[in-house]
Formats: sequence, C-alpha cells, structure tokens
Amino acid sequence: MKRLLVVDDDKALRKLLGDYLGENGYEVVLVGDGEAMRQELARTAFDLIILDLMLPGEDGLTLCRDMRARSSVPILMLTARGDELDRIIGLEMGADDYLAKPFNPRELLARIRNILRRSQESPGTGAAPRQLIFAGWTLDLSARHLIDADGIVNPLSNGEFKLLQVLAEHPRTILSRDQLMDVLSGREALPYDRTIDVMISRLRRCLRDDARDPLLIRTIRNEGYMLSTQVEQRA
Amino acid sequence: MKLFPRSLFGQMLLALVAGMAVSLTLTVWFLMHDRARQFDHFMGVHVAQRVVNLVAILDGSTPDERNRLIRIFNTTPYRHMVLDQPWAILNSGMSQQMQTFTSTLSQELGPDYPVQILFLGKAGNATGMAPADPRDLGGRFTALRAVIQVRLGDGTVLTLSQSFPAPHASETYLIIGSLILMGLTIALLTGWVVRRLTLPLRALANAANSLVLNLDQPPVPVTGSAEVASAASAFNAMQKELKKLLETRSQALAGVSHDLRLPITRLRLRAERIPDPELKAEIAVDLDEMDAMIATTLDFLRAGRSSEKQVKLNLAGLLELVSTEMEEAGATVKMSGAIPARILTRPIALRRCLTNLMDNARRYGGGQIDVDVSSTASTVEIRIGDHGPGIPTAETDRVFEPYVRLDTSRSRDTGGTGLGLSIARAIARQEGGEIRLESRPGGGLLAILSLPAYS
Repeated sequence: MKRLLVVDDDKALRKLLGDYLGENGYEVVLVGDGEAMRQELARTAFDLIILDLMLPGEDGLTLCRDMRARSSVPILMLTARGDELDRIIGLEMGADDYLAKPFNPRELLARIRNILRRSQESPGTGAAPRQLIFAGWTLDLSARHLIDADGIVNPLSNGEFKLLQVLAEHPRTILSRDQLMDVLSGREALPYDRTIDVMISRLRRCLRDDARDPLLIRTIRNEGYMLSTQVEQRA
Repeated sequence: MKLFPRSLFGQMLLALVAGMAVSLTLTVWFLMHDRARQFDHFMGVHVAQRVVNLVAILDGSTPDERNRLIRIFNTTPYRHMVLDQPWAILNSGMSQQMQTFTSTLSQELGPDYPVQILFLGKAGNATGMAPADPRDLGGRFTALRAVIQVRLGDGTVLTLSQSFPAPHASETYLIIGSLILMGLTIALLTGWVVRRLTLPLRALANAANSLVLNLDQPPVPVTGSAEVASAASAFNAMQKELKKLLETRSQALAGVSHDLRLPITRLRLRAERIPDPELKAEIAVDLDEMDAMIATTLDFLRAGRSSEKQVKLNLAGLLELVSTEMEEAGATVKMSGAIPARILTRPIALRRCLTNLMDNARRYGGGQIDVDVSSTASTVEIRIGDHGPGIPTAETDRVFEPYVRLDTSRSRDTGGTGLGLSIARAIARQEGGEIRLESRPGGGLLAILSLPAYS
C-alpha cells in the first residue's frame, strides 16, 4: 500500500482528504504544518507528499525547496489561488505537479496515480526536467509553452499540452489510447477515444506535421501513438 | 454675446486687455490735453511779454526811429510788424483760446494800450499777412501765428504777426506709439502669465477625465500658481485615496472569493460520500458553478494586472485553438483575413480575452461566429461578428461595466456572470490595445479587438 503524507493547515479538509484517500486504497498520514511534516519524514518513508502552499510558519514553497534538496519524494502542491505565478514558482521549487483548490477529488486521485507511476518508472531522478527539446521544438514545462525554432509560442489547450508532454516524456515509446486517456483523466468521463484523436490531429497541425504522412507523432495501428524523435531533457 | 470667450484663459485675457486699453486711452487723452493746456499758457505769457517789450520800445521812439526799429525787429517769417494798417473791426466772435490770450495780453500791457487779436491759428492762414514759409509746415513742427493790433500812446496802430512753435506733432505720435508698445508688451506678458495659470488647470481637467479610464495614471504635475498647485496635489491625493479604497474593496472581494475555495473543496470531498448518485451529481454541478463564479471574479480582479510575461505568440494558432473550443461547444466559426505571423502578448491573458469575446458571440449571436483579421504596420484588428440581435448603440459602453448584463435576468441559464467583457477589455488594455463594439450592417454585433502589431 502506497503511503501518502498530507500537509494542510485546515483540520476539516485534512480529515476529509484522509478519509477519501484512505477509501481509495492509500495509507494516509495527516499533519498540519512543516514542523510536524519533518518529524513524520524523519520517522518513516512516504511515496508522495501532498503539500499545501499556504501553511502557518514555513510556507509550502520553502518546505518544497528544502525537501527537494534532501530527497526525491514526489511532491504534489495544493495551491489555493490557482495563480499562474504560484504554479510556475511551485514547479520551479521542485514540485512534481500542482492542483488548485477547489479541486475535483477524482482529479486529485488521477494526479496521485500519475505521479506515483512516473516515480516508479524512473525512481530517484530527482527534480523533473523543465524543458523537453525535440525536432526544433521546445516544450517549456514551467511556462507551459510550445516554442518553435523562431522562438514563437504556439498555443495549446491544457489537454493538448499534457498529451504532448507525455509523448515527449516517453519518446519512441508506443503509448496506448488508454494510457493517454489516463493522463487526461480527472475530468468528467467524456468519450475520450474521439477527443484524443482530435487532439492528436491538432497537435500535428501545430507541429506542422503532415497528417497523411506524419513524421513526428506517428499512429501505430491498433496500438496507439508514438513520438518518433529524440528528446533532450533540460533542467 | 457669442464673442464673449468661455474659457478662463479668454476671459482673463479679455478683462486684462480691455481694462488696460481703457485706462491707457484715458491716460493718453489726459496727458495730451494737459500738455496742450500748459503749452497754451506758457506760449501765451511768453508772446505777451515779447509784445509788451516791443510796444514799450516803439512807443518811446520817434516815427523815424520806429520804422528803423521795425525793420530791425522784423524777422520774416517769424515776426512781421507794420504801422500803416487801420484798427480792424472784428465781426466774428473770438474763440476761447483768443479770449484767454487777449486777457493775458491786456494784463501785461496795462490799461494804456488797447489790444485786439485778429487771428490765432496755424501759420499761413493769416490772409493779407506775410506769406507762409514752407519751413513752417515741413511736418517737423507746425507753427502757430498770432496777429495782434495794439494802439500805441500816440494813436498809431501797430499790427504784429508773431509765429511761435506749436507742440511737436511727431512728439504726440511718439507718446501714442510708446503707449501702444507698452500696451502690446503688457498684453503679451499677461497672455503668457494667464496661459501659465490656465495650462495646469487644463492638465487637471484632462487628468480628471481620464481618471475613470485608468486609476493608475501618473499623478498630475504640481505646477503653476499656489492655488492651482494645491488643487493638483489635492487631486493627486484624491486619486491615491480612490485607488486605496478600490484596492481595499478588491482585496475584500478577492479575500471572500479566495476563502470560499476551502469550503468548496471540503464540500466536494463530502459530496463524494453521498450514496444517492443523482443528488451527488446535482451537488457537483452546483459546486462547479460556484467554483466558476469565484474563478471569474478572481479573474476579473486580476485582469489587466497579470504577472504573465509577454512572448512572441503564433496568433493564427491561438485563434484556431479558441475556434476549436467554440466549435466543440456547438458554434460554427468562419475565419477570414490575413493573420500576422506573430504578436507580442501574454498568451494566457489573450486567450482568455478572445475566448470571452467569441463565447459572447456564440451565446448571444445565433451560433455562427465570423472572425476577420486585418493588420497595418502598427495595429492588428480582430473583428468578431455574430448573427444575433446585437445591442443598442447607447448600451455599447455600459456592457463593459462589471456585472452588467443586458438581459436583466441574473440567471446563468443564458450564461455568463456579466464579467466577460470587463475582463476582456482589461486584458486588451494591458496588452496596449482596446475593444469596441459596433452594430453590423446586416444585423448582429461586431466586437473589434485591436492590438499593437509586432515590430
């Protein structure tokens, strides 16, 4: 059973989170501030820390940076603002992902699953890369920008960005529609099969990839999609 | 009274110049008049004394000596004396000037010598006397001539024509000229001072007008007279206070919106425990709606002061992205025009701005959205047209105000919180652009977003 440490100063929310995550198969430890968090971490190991940004005493950003310097435990940041700046700073401080309050509980579960899977696939890599570079394109994970060779930002929807990020994080690997759907999950259950195909075709157009003979994002019949190029990771 | 100026500058200038003109005219008139009077008096006494001297010498001489003396004393054309003229009988009245002169002469000569004045006036007009000398009239000065008859002790009549210089005409022009010059100088100086007084007032008025549009505008320069400067600094203080007040209000609103997020998060987690799936779904919808309202309110409070950085953005890509979302929501988007390759902007903010505009077109505009892009060297114009009922021209400004919705019902069924256009405009302005609404010739509403072009 995966062990989660929830750090949030709101007692009621903490308890609700504990119950909800417990019901969904996680072992959860709840603490209210950075001090208690350090004590718990000193005692036992955790698979993931869910860290609130706004904490009494030491704030979430400081704790996140401090922890990143010492261990590679994945961190999911909870922000109350959903502010662009908080998100970018949070990611730069070494958080693996972030979620803005008020979040959808099912999206929280999906994010937890994603982070845990990623850390299982490449354990101990430490801070996640912030730039993925392939075929003249730069995917800036902090600013969430797809930048072309001329330095022009090409806008993507959130789903498209996530999809491209997953493809670029697993270059030359076939990713099934199920796996891609999982990345996009957390929203209400829509016919994702179709949406993923639509998003892929829009991504191809953005990347100026010929839809009939795509070179970058290739369709593997009956299996899924693959980014067929080398990807350089930059911190 | 249309000529009466409305501006403070015009009124002050008019009052000062008119007042000065009147007082200068009076001064000139008085000066000239007084000068003439003094001159008359002085010359009268002077001439009278001369006549007295001449009469005394001639009266005490024999007739032979008189003729010799007259030849000596006659200095043509200034003085001419003859002894053979009869005592003239005056048939016309004497002027005031002549009467004064006569009495001066009588006084000086005493009762023994009867005296009368035949003529007093400009030289050359004395008929039958010495001809006018051209030098008299050269324009440099005009001479006056007096023709006087005095009966000497032995009954001989002495007729004397005496010229004397009149006041310099050129001197009069000089006085008037210098007064005009003085008037002009004062008028110019006054104009400058009044302008200096009124310019800061104008700046103040402009600042007050534009305050509505931008509370963050730079303070008014505190210049000009003490009164105007203190008005300017009072205005600046007011702007600061207004800003503080507004910020406090915004902070309160942001605070409430922000604080509501925690209970909503808790409610979402609690709702997960509701066994009835239908009730659970309904509560989830309500919570989503609350979340959306809070998010929009926070967006509105933040709009136009985004911390996002400007980047070079593929505008065609952004328009396509927003269009795709609109089409997913059931609209048809028709794109036309030439889209510039790039634009310097904040991608998230601009996307929000375009989404809000196109969402309005989708919601109120009958489902078809026409997007047309055109650009000049300095501006990119994105024209978003719909096929709905449009809005009255009188309302095109009001709809930008927060929470203003023309369909009066606050129901969210027709969609929107009434913040969409306010947010869109705040963003457009932060990007250095503007949004205006127009009616389409064929019906429907046209939202025109203009943005600075990439250079």
